[in-house]
Amino acid sequence: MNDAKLLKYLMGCAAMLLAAIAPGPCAAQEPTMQTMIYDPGQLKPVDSVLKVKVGDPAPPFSLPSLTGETISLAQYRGTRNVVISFVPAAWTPVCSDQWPGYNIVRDVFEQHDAILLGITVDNLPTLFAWTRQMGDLWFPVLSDFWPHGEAAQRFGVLRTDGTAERALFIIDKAGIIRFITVSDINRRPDLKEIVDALQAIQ
Amino acid sequence: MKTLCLQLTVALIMFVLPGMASAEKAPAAGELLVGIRLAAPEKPDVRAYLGLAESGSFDPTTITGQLLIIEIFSMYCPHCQREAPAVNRLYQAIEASETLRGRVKMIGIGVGNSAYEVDHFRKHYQIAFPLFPDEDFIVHKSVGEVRTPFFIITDIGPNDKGRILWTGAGQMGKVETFISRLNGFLKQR
Repeated sequence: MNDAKLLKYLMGCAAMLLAAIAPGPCAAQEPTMQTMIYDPGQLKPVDSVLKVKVGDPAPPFSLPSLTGETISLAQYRGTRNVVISFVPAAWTPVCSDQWPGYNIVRDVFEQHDAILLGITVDNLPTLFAWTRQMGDLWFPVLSDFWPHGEAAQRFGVLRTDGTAERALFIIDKAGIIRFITVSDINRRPDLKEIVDALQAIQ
Repeated sequence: MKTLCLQLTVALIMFVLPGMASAEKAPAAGELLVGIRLAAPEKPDVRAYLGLAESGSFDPTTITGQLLIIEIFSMYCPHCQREAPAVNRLYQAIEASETLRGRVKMIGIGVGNSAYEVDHFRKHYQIAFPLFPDEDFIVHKSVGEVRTPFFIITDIGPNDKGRILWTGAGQMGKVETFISRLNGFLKQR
């Protein structure tokens, strides 16, 4: 065996050894979403300045959704309270958990006459691939990709790197902002915050 | 050249692999489950199931019985959501078994979940075994920040209290297989 072949052989053995004993959750099963997440590490908790406040009329937006429809905030005027969940980006750690959690609280939203709109600045193909891993989401997922982050910018939650904040807005049936929370991007907000806020506007 | 190749391989095995092992501190069979504290539930029926005398916080290895199954989950984890019905069937099978009921206990720990979130998960999936919040990821860190769901079977009998007998990541598998595993551990005692 020449040197090049020997090197290839040894490194191949080492790679196989690594693959065999390296730790990995669900290693014996199909690849899971958890193995496909890009971890950017700890980020600056908040990196934007709000442009709206509680009591303001919500800035209008119309965005394409995964179902092919264009969803406008205005279409819920007079009929539904709207909870907007901006999350920073697809395929990142906290975001990939947040909406699956909301997916099992549909009853809570409906009890409060509320719809949830999930928004990121990713494009539709990315959102499609990402959310397929979450199961069937009951709420519209909207792409604020182009003009990039325009809706996030109107609310003042577009970060300097082009991602959105982890932010929640509740807009009542009259189109008025009733609740705002911009969370530390590295942490998921407690579901109870939303529930309490929905109860408060009933 | 051959020497260099061997050195590279040895270096890989000596330095890279142990580093990976130490980075992953998930509980493993044979180790002791230590350092977990949970808030004692207030509901009398839950306290009775766990056999808790103390209030405040407790070590789950003090739960009465012979084996304890711990599911590390998150309300926000879609895999945990999909697994919830199977985990419920496991609990029901244990409670329906004369040989397992009372000897095998089950709890779930919701990592990064508030009490409200854990309670919602419990109600949504009609989970009958006790669930505990781990809002600040304290338990999660103590079990090596395992991905969820993650299952631990530990001995809680008097002779080898806290000894981990089995762990599993991801789907728990068939209920029958899990029950056989439990019976096997009980027979070894």
